[in-house]
Amino acid sequence: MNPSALAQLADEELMHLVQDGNADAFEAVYDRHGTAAFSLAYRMVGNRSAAEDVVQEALLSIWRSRARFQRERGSVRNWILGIVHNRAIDSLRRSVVHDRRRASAEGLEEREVAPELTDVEVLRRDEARTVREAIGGLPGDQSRVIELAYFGGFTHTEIAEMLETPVGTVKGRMRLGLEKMRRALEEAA
Amino acid sequence: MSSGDGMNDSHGRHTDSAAAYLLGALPELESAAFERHVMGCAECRDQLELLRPAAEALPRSVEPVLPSPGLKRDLMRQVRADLEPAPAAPARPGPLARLRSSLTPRVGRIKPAMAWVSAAFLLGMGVVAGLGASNLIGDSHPKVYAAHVSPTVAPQGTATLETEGNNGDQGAVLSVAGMPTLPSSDADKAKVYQLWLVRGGRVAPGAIFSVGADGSGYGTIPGSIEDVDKVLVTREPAGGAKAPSEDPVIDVTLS
Repeated sequence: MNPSALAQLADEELMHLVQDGNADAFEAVYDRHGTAAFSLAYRMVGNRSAAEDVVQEALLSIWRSRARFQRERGSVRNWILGIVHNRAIDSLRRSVVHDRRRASAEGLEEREVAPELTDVEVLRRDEARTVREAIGGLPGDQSRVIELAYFGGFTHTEIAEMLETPVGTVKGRMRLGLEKMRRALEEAA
Repeated sequence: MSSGDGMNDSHGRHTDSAAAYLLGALPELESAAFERHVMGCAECRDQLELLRPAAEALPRSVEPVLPSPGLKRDLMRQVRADLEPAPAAPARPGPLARLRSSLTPRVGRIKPAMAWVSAAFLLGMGVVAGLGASNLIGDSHPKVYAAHVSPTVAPQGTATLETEGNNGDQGAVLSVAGMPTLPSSDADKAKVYQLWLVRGGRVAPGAIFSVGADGSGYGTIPGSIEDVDKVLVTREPAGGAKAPSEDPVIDVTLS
């Protein structure tokens, strides 16, 4: 199957081919989700080199454990991003210097955005805006713990120490924040 | 709560753990314990499914950032190598690819700083010297172009453009060193370096990039540059510009 035909397939169809060892299908998966994977890793680890290592490790692990993908357990995109997220957390927790800067988008030194947007990218930017608004609508103490945990890779105990707040309170804020985000996203859909 | 297998006793320990678990905020051992607990605790499973859509939406809030073309190339090289039953004689790689292999043994990819070192090494060997490196080894491998850097803006500045694929049909990477860092803290004065692609006299905006404290960095051109005559770099306001606002600080002639 040629690349343009592969590009027409749904993610789940591509993954079916990937599970049969089709490298071209895997390349199509990368073309579709590689930028999102890299963007997430970059947001978390804060520099290109480390982010590319994270994505390469994550995607190679996906390729090598491709038989484990189960379509009924969620979308391909969420599955890939989940694995990238876990790898980025591993990378952050392995690092000798626990760089607090990584939790802040303002701290990024390198940024490279595509100047021309495809329709899909426009939709994804709209979606990104919606999610950012949902996060922005949270009380500051809830959005802070969510960002520190998800993007910063900090554990609940580290966040509790950082904010001088009981662990139970931190976990409660995480739950309340995600509940509120979920409602906001449902209303925006 | 509806739970079984003695999970009632442990549920108290896992109160509110679902959100922390989804956010990756549980330490490894606690995360594993929670996963075991969830298998027997319907309440925690319900909580997970309730919160999962919000947690899964978080990565979608991230500003898109383009990976370098080299990431895909090296990833796919390893993917395809996995499929080969026995070591096969690889197509002869270009000089930078060979340097990559020798410099990055674990993941087989080159670091940005090392890319410049490699390019500088090649320049030092006189491989480039105004010619595409592929002239020496065939016509289907990366080419490296030396750039002219404005001596008034960056007296110590150097830059090289390395193509990806055949004759740049998969883009290129501009690696720079010795460039001044640009202001970034004040939003009104923040600046970035921006690439410009010149085709037949028409100038199109490219990616923006910054350099680190050591003056090194790189910008990527994801699409084909086969018909690009020049690659230029200017300093523009953060976020980039639609047209260059100054004379180029870096100028690479391709044709």
